[in-house]
Amino acid sequence: MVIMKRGVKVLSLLLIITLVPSMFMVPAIAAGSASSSGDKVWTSSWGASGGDWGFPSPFAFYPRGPGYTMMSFCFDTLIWPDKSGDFTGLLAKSWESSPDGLTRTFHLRDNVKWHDGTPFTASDVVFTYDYIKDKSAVAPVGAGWYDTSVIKSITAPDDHTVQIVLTKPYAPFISQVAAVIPIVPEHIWKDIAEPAKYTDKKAAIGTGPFMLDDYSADQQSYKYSANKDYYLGAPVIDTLIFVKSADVVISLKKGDIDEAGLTFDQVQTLNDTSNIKVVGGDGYWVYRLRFNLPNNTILNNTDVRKAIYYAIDCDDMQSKVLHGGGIAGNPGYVPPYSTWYYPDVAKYAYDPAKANQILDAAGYDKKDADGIRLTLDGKRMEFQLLYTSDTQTQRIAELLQSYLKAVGIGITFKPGDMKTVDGLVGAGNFEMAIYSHGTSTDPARMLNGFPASTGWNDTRFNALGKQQVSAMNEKDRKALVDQMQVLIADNVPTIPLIYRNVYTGFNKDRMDGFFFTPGGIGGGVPTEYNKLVFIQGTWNAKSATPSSDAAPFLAGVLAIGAVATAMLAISRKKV
Amino acid sequence: MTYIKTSGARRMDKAYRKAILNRGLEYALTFFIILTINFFLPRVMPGGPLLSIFGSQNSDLPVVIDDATKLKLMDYYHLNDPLHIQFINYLIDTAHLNFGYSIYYNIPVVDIIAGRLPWTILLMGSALLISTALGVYLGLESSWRRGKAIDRALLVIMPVLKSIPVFFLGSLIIFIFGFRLGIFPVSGGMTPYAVYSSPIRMIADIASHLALPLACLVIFEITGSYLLVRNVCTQQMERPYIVMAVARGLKDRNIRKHVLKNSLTPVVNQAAAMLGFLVGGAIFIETVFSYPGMGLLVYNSFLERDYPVLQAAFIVMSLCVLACNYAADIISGYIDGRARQD
Amino acid sequence: MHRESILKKLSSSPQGIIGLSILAFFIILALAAPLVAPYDPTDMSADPFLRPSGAHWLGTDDVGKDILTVVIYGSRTSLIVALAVSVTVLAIGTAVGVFSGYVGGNIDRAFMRGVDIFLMIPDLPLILILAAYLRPGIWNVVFILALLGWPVSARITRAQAITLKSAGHVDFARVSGGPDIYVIGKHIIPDLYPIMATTVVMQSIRAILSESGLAFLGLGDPSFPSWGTTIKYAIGYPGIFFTDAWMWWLLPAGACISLLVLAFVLVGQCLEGDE
Repeated sequence: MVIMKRGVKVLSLLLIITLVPSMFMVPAIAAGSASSSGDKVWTSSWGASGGDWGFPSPFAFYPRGPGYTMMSFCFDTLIWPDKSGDFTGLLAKSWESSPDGLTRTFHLRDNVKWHDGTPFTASDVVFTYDYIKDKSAVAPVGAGWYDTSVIKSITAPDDHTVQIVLTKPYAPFISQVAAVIPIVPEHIWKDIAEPAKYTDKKAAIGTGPFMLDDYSADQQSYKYSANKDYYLGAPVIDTLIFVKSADVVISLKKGDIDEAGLTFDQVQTLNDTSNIKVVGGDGYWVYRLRFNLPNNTILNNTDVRKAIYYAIDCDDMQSKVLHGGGIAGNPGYVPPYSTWYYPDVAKYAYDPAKANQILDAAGYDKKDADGIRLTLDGKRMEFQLLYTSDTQTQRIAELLQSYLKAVGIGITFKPGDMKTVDGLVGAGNFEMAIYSHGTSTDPARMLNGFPASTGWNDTRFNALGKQQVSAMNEKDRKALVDQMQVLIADNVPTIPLIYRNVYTGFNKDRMDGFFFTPGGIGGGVPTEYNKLVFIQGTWNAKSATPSSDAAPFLAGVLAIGAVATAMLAISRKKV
Repeated sequence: MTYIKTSGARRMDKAYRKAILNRGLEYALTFFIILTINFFLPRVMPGGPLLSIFGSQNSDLPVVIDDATKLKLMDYYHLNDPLHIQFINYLIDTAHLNFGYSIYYNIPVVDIIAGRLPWTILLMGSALLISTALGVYLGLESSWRRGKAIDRALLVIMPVLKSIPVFFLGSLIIFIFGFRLGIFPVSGGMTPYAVYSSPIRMIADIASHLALPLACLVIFEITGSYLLVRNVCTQQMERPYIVMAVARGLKDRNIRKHVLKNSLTPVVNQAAAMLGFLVGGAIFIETVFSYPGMGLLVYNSFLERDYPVLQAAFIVMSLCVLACNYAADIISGYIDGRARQD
Repeated sequence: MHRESILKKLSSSPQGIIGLSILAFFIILALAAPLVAPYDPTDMSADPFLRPSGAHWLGTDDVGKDILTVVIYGSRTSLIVALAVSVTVLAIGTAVGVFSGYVGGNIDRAFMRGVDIFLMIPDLPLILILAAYLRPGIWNVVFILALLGWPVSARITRAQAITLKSAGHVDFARVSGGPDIYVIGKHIIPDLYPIMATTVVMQSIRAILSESGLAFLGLGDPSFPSWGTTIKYAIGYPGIFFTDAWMWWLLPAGACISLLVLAFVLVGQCLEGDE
């Protein structure tokens, strides 16, 4: 007994000895502030899922996700969308087009410097476009984002003018090419043969409003420092940090981060936080039902697909899955907040009676004991529903199963991960699938890909698609896109179920001004990280906010003290 | 009783050395079999290694995996060579710590693992030490005071603790200490990009992030060592020579020392066995607390189907478990030998 | 050491009684689910995030399902997995263990070598890898858990079989010329009942915790409501800790898992003769 008692006593004594100096350290720790004083630091967060989007050079970022956005802080394009969605000049101060639309001339700004001090000239632009064209086979990251196929040639008549000749009139040239392709410094990249592997510090040298300080794939974080000599004006902050955060709502409330993208559910929890301002934007993120056309004979029947559409209550689905943070899909596929939206298309309001009618008329009137219809060969009308197993899609799948059961169509679940689902769909090895993805805001990317993304091949539609891309007149183009929407609604090649909005919450007491660019950046990405916000926003904070780590330290110290006291008390008890 | 001190040389006798060598060979064989399982898994599963490489993307945004990594992976798998050549290449690659390229991160797998492993070792190591120490202490107290209040209380609390699923426990801990009381940070290993005015502050930051996941793991693990120690000590105390010693009025402290020494072996063994358990628990804990260790890596890679990372993590974890078990065997053999000579 | 004494042992200690009653409660709940649950498990007609009320005792979840219904049906999933895994492990483990222990020699050594190797492998990473390749589904989960579980049972059974082999009555039967199968069936297996009972308990605990853990990680079978999945959805809801929702969404599912496992733990403790 004695040795135990003695041992415990010794241990407790040791703990107390360490406690005493720790007590003195607490105020010292509390006094030290988080970062160098006077530094305007802005911390944004991508949330918990990922945060590593690749090294932010134009050829090394991870293609799926906000990698482009992270790169856009350091690199400028010729033209860039501003707060209203209109295109404003970045590296180009003005531009014009020849009457036939084939020759585009850009007048570049002077006095623009690369981050390493070298002056920016037109030869950098020519070099960039040629480099991308040349390397498109080797660095597909670039080729996926950067479409240089319509460019016939590019020349620099003088140091501040660039002339691009296209192969054909291309309506979305400005929004999909000139406002997307970042310009890289010729003097750095001319010797790089493998652009995707070049992740040296110099690979992040651009003309943008921020310079890359640190990128950690491990911590999934990015750190930028402001480019004070930026030609549009110095950014209102000094340091920009992107970090991962397990719970962005808590981090926002505690002040650990200043801004984050939010889901609608998260927005609700911030209603009581006065310093957090929430801004919403058009999502362009669609959840749609895909059919294996034209392989699946039953689903290839347009009437069957229409019946399915009538059987689904998209409004209810939206309220159950997005809880108000989105809208129901519409048959023309183009979402209602798009400037290209055409309301005069066939509608499929929730009408299970009508769905039943259509299916009966199509010859599927016999049902089995469970109420599931039988096909012409007597088999159950049951389909496998393929989908990625995240919460929202899972809920959509469950809702679909219940709606379709009510009209006699059976659904079996086949959840999988994104890669498996993509693979199976790509191989044509599925029946129905729930597909969710962001869509571009330009009809060229949104609609022209339909044959590949739905399996529906209609000659009229494809012809319209080709025409609208070359229609230089806005009105003509709109008319063509309207017709495309009518065709989609009539044929139901895919059923857009719901569109999800985007939201951001930020600490307006520190900086105000976040917005969602109408039309998105980089060809349609609906993000709040339009770099212009850091130039045009307003900095409100009076001083840098120090975060106190004294509390947890104190708590730890108290805990150790409590344990020590407890051990002393126990050992003192008589046997 | 007197204690005879023996010389070091006699302790490390031949039998002991032979046994240790044999065990070492067994572990090596086990590791080899794990490597083989790891080799065959991607090739046997539906879709094969190509499934992960060629999952295509059909939206109008760009592809998931760039061709460069695709080519690198196909090269790594040597898919064009006959199977035994593939296997030899695989073994050579593993020996050189070349685990291929991560599909998600597009960087070598070994770099990712090297960044995550220290965090998990920190978390699991401290959890193992603390929970074993606390478990031994509580187990001793409990067996010494068998039947008394403390013993009965612990006997009721421990099964309850054992029944709570670790992820549920973690969520509750986050709720109480992270949300309601707001004392500790709820996620991460340390505050990113914080500038520390002194190394003490960095240690404090890491410690405060470590506190909650550590507490959760300790609570989860403590039941194991507690029960074991209590049972072993109870058995020990019923042994004739102990009963005799008590009857003869020998000092308490000598008896306790003896009981403790003889129960160390199973504790050490169990601690090592628990390591395999801890590895699994770490996955849940790191996921719930977003702690940047191997567990979270495995989970994220699983979500992304980043097979090269998953398999490399599996090998690394298995290796750790085997190494710890081997170390435990060596230590307990040493203790046993010493105890036998006393 | 036979069947009757197990029951007697269980009913004589307070732990055993409590454990068995909790277990009985859950079994009855699972069997009577369609009668007891107020709604159908696929019924999503209610509004999401409703607070507890007369219509929904535990409120509704994020898609409008009645939480009480999901929790009740979740007991089915846990018990089915527990039963399937423990029976499979028992069958394979006993067969291998008895065979190995009885036959002895090199076959025994080879088997035990294999068992040792299995025991060394950390199971959760392997489960995740296998699950990554296979599709999420309840029978896949049962398969994986049983695959990683039989070695433990085999080892314990073998140890006991070896002890029994040289026990008096067994030896006598063998020496008297009884065929091996007879010896095994009549003499060894019945004396293994205590070990088998312990195995069932241990494997059930493992199965329930693993299944809910895997469901929590997203590997659950979507057609089977599971407590782990409920916890997953609850934690995934941003307002879970900011509102009172944790009380009726998070707690019940977690408490059910803990209670069911506790039941098995108590029964196990009682069988092993802890006081």
